[in-house]
Amino acid sequence: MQNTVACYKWVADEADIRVHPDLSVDLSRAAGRISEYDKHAIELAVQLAGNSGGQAVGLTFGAEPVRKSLKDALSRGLDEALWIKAPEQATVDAVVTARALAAGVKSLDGVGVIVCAEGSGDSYARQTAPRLAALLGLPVVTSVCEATFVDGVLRATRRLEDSLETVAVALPVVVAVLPQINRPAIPGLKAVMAAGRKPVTEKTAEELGVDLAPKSEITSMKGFAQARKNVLVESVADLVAALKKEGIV
Amino acid sequence: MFYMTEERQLIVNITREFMEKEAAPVALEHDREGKWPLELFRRAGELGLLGIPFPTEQGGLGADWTTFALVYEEVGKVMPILGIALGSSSILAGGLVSTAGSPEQIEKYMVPANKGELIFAGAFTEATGGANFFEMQGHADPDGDDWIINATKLFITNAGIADVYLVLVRTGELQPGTANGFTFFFVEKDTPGFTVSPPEVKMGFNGNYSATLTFKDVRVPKENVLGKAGDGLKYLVVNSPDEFMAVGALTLGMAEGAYEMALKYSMERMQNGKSLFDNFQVTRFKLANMKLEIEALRGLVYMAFDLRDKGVMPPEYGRMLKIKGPRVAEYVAAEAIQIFGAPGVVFGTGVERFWRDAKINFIAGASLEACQDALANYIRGNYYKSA
Ligand SMILES: Cc1cc2nc3c(=O)[nH]c(=O)nc-3n(C[C@H](O)[C@H](O)[C@H](O)COP(=O)(O)OP(=O)(O)OC[C@H]3O[C@@H](n4cnc5c(N)ncnc54)[C@H](O)[C@@H]3O)c2cc1C
Repeated sequence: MQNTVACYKWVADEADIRVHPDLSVDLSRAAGRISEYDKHAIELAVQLAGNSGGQAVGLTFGAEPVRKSLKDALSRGLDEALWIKAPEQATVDAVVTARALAAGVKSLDGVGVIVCAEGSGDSYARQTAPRLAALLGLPVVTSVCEATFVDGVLRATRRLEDSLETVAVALPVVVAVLPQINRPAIPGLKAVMAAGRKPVTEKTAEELGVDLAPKSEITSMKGFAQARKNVLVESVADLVAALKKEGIV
Repeated sequence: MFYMTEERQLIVNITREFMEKEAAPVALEHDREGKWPLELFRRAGELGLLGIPFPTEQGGLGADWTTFALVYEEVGKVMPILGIALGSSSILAGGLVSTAGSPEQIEKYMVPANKGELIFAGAFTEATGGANFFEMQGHADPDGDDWIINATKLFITNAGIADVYLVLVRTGELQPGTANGFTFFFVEKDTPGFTVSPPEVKMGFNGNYSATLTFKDVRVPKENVLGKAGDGLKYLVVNSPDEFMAVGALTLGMAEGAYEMALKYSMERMQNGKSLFDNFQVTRFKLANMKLEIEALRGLVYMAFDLRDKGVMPPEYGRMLKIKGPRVAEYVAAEAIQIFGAPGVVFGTGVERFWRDAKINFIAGASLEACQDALANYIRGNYYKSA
């Protein structure tokens, strides 16, 4: 019996992020949510655990606000959750996150597959899965759009630029999934109410001996605005000429 | 907010996820094409949106009324007619079954209704007037172990889609000053003598059917009497505050839906290099007043539901929500149309749909004036009680 782990991140809700006219980004009023990409990871973990008869465990790392994610994640079919608590005000980068998640995975028994999303809803850095695999000394399969167990190994299809590659990999393994892999089910309200009764383990990063020194730092964040030229044209011919001039057609 | 808990917030988020992903993409299509949202209704049933306040033994969620209100608010923001379809089945009719149904009726009707597998309609209104029960013509007469129903019911929501109709008719002599002599019957859709007209073409609630039901010598066994024969109107009196409160929660969502659209538009539409919001004080003040009305309604809605959950809500709060909710939704939607300018009156932006749907809530279920009249009667009653 193999347990499956779904790593998920609590991110700022994109709908609440405001970009001011000076392009500064205002996150102050953004509520948190489970990264949309990670809902696909949770869905796959639940499905694989169902196939292997093991447990599906949600694993997340972050400071106090992340507590709000636990019932949400558990209502999506996970059997239990492990929250590695970061100290308030900690500066966290991909390296620190991978260290914390690796420590979390090591504290669990019988893990077969560790599912991450290819990237997160906020920075989409695509570093977590490869770094996590490296720290755990495990193989990693990225850009996965299909994954099933076949005779005890994981068969995963990777979506590459212009081809599909299918690999068979022995467990344990880290996979990074693309949104195409599945359509996460919206949990029913009964599942939401039952989520509160599922087990949650809370461990601090210090307890697990996680090195919290980051290796990179965000020095600035600015909104992106498409500069418009506001050209008025008189005719279709003018429009075509203008588009040609810009090298668009 | 005083009423928000972690669990309720999560239920709100999940409902929002459902409404955004599954209802929003088709909401305007249903409005334009007048198509009843059967698929969404079934999905809502699967997710547990129908049985929220009903006990788990009845197949419900066993949650409280505040949770119910929060869910209906979310539904109202995106697709009011879905809320009307759900509410008419689960609260207007289902609420009666939940309180007065026999164990067999609960098992047969309520359990599948709470899952969205069975759809109810509640039929009270006749040509004599929606609030005028004492001139009701529809009646049922005993015949051995059966009853024979003859009636014509107008403007019945979910007509033609419902599997089971809960119909209120006279079954005895009127006893002035009492609510005796009315009975609710379950009538299944294929019962001989029962017919449904094509739906009315309305200005709003498009995609929800309102039609005339005709019962001509419809024979039903005595097992189809809801609760006790003769007590139908009493059940309705007890249940109607819940139906009215559901309208309060739904219209709160509708007001918010229209407001959010107007706010976004006012921030994004540019004239002379500035947004409408920054250009015109009159626009800013509109939005400020819309917000104020919404928050005042929110206060009333959640205070009433909180009292309902504590079992101490005076029944007139139901009428208050049925009056205040549609008024706020209509006012906010009308202002939202104004802020949009020409696109506001065009089908397709969706902002005018909120206004059309809000207006219907002044009448559907109970006219605003009939609610005011009942509220005034409570006020008189309380005045003399305290004197
Ligand atoms: C879209 C829609 C859906 C509906 N769904 C259902 C349903 O599912 N089941 C059902 O049984 N009915 C339903 N109805 C009927 C609805 O409940 C009635 O239309 C409503 O109660 C008003 O009754 P009426 O239309 O007969 O108007 P009338 O009773 O003729 O009222 C006309 C006007 O007279 C005044 N008035 C009437 N009575 C009073 C009073 N007591 N005090 C003060 N003023 C009064 C009001 O100004 C009122 O607007 C629906 C109606 C609509 C439009």
